Amino acid sequence: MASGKSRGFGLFFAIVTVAIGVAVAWGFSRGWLPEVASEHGKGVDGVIHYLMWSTGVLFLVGHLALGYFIFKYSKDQAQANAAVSHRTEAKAAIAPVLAMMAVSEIGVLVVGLPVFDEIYGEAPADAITIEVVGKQFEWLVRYAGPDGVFGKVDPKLVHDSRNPLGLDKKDPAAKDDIVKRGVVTIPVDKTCVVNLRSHDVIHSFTVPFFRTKQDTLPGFTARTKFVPTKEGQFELACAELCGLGHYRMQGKVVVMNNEDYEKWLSEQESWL
Amino acid sequence: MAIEEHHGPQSFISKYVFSFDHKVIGLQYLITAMFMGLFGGGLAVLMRIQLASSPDDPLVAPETYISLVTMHGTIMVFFVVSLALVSGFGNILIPLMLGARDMAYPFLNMLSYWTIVPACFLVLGSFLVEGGAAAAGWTAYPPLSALPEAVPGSGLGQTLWLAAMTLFIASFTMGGLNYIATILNCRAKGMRLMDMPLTVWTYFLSAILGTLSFPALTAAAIMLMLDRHGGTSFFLPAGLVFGNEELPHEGGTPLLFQHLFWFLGHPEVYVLVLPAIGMAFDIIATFARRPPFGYRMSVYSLLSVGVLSMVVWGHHMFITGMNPYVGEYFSIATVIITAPFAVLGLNMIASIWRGRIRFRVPMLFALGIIMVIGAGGFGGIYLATSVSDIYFHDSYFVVGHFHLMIGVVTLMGTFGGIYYWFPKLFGRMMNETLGKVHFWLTFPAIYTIFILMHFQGLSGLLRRYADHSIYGFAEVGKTLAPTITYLTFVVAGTQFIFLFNFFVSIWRGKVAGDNPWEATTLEWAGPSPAPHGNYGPTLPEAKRGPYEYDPAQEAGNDFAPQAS
Amino acid sequence: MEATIVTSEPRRIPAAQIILVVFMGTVTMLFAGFTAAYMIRRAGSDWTHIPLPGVVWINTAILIVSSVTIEFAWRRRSQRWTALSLILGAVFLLGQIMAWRQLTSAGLGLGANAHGSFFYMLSAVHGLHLVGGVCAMIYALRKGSASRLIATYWHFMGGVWLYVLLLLAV
Repeated sequence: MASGKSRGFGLFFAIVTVAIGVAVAWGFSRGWLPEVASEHGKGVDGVIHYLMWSTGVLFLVGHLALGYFIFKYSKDQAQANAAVSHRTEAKAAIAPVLAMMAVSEIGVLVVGLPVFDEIYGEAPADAITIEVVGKQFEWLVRYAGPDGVFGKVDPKLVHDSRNPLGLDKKDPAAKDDIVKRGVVTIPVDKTCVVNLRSHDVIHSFTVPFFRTKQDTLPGFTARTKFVPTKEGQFELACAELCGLGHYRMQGKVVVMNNEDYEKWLSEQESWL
Repeated sequence: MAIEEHHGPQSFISKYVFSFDHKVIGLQYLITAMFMGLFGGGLAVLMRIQLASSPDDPLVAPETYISLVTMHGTIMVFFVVSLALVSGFGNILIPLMLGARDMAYPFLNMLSYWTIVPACFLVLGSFLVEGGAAAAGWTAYPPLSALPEAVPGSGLGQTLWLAAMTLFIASFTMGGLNYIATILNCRAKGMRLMDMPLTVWTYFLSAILGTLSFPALTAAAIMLMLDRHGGTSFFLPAGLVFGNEELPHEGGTPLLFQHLFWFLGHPEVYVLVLPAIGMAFDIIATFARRPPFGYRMSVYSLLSVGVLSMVVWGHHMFITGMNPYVGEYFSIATVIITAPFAVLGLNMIASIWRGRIRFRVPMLFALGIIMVIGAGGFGGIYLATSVSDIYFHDSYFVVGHFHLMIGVVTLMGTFGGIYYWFPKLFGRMMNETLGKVHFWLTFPAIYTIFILMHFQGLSGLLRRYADHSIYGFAEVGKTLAPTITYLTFVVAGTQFIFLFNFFVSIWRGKVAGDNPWEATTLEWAGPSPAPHGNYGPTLPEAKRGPYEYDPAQEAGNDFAPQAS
Repeated sequence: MEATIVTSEPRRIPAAQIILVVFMGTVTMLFAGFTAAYMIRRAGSDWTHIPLPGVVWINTAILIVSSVTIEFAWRRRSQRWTALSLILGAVFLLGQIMAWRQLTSAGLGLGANAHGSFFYMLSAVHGLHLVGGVCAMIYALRKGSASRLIATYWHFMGGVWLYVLLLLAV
């Protein structure tokens, strides 16, 4: 292999390598994330940005090193001391191990843990609790009503149009439950706890602007919570394959100020 | 009884159909994988066309789209990548690199291939049955996969899927047992475990990982079959309502299936990726004319990855509703894997340091592998961190990540391996120019496709959606979709150049010598093409380590084969 | 370049033994998966234990005896003891089918009760693996007697059955 040809190609490939590193790092740094409208969502974005910086730097450094070596050693000339001792090779492993452990565990334990606590920790006393049930292919939303208690539901009583949640009218607590199809209405700046169930297959309650996602498993009540920080309407989608309507299981979360919310709530009629 | 020296088979059937020769069986696997790849890739093209179509005029109905998604995943993971890289190349390379005549059990080997063939028929045939092919994702979560009422594909289609997977697991287990026995028992005289090429190490680990983790999926598949056809409730709880009627099941837990599935599912991705990493090391050594940097540390890293891979499966289940503190354990454990992976990645880069690079086609693919492992590996950290995973779960970020790791790395490994070991199998070279065209069209395109998917995921775009038009939250990510679709056509079309090169070169390729790459490992010690029995009357001995290259010497003189 | 001189030959374990050990590992992992499923289901509030059909204990005794006979078979290289073990194995399998029938006629079909479902499933999977052992014995009889490896596998499957029984009965 003529050394001239190899050298030229080596330079070319090295440039490609560095270009890929730069292009990908640049691409990641563009603002792809949609706006954030919840408290813990800011923390989630914080973890993502931390990872972009830390892994981005390492990624770039790796590509620069690779590109440099490809260029330098594409020269067809004798290289001395290519093989090194086992000890040196072992010592060379120390840096990547420490670097990766530091970067990744700091992400999980230092940057991530406080956010984890916001999502999974205890809710404050003034939290609003709602129930959302996923079914093929819509979201049913339930409010406990003035008594503050969610009434009994019975799967045998479920009827798609007449009684989608299967409310048991023999239970007095169920009499004042409010049921909405596809719309969650909540006040801003207050913790909203969502109890999640499913009537048929696994769905997943996700509100991208809140950075909220929680699967709804049949036979189990899952729980998530968030504190909306902006008023407005935010899309609700399904994030677990649930059948042919998975792509159109759309709902929305309407966030109002406290006054408007109380007014709205008082105007709602119970389902039964 | 380890190996029999049998005189060669005579009839067409015994030579090419029911062959016991590991090279023929390996080629059978490889060609079957290419065939299944046409289907798996075709499904991808259909999906991309659907995603680029107007919502008023979709290519396929939504229930069909999710069958395409499901079968694309199933076919590619098991019937293309595993078949080509693990079964195909594993069979071809292990005896050759160990200096053995064949696998420890050639009959078991033949059986393992012929078990896969009906599985392929079941998988392809499932598209033609009532209700269509399975549509619950390659992950087949119940209740969706357990109930025909939930989606049409969960009728006969899902049953055929389960039957095919049972056959696949049986075949893989037979192969895995053979690999382990051969590697432990059939090495050339003088070859200790630490004298094996890294490729063989990775096959050893893949075989162990696979044989120990597939049983969890077997258990899950048996229970799912019983829930579907036997009236049991392993995964089905009470309270399931379809058509306003409650189903008679009670007491089961859908989450149990996920634990069992991912107990296999996570090690499975390492089973797939490890051989590509091993092959990258071996190819780089040959074309940088120096031993891989840190052989021992790489072996230890591979072992660590293997062990760790078995205790981190829950990172696929962070938001399922399992105890979030258990989730935190899985998060902390998963990110530990970045450490040995970083060692492997840096060792690959350092394997060029003080080398003398020859830019032949296999080397191009190997260098590409290093870059993709970087992107895929770093991207994985976003998913391994439970808090960020809340946002990325079921988004295109995940799709981009796993395609880079088990799609692109493995594909680059398979291609690099085919160009590299082609002369060993056929005594001829593949065309170098077409190979370079293949690389330069495939690599940038396929890499870009999946990097763009990471951006789509960042914007919030969700996966397994037949159509994203009703939502606005991922508007920015959606603008990337047409580009991804066009690049998909480029990648798909380019593979025909490769297939043409492969098949024509078998008969018309430039005749190669026995060791055209001037490589050291034992497979190059025998004639090319390798005859039945691999080496002629005398088996090679391992008189040296596997990588005695010396870039201080001139070409022709810069290597000492392991057999000499 | 100097050759690295290797002086010692590593001791080799026979390939068949390696295959058996790894396969036993595979089977162990299979039953570990089932165990996890069982434990999780068992913890449910609606768990009802059913009495295991009586014939199961007889079958178990037969299986234990067959482990004894297969020991004689390989140690004495005896075709007769091999045939006896094979017959006992077949009787065990038929006995298991009888156990299923006893359960079904008591109204406890496959899907009727969770404990029952596990019984059917675990005994069926175990039985299938035992059929493999029986086939191995048939193959061995053609040329001689059961090998030590077949006996090991047989003892292993006997052990698995005792484990399954313990899990289900407790």
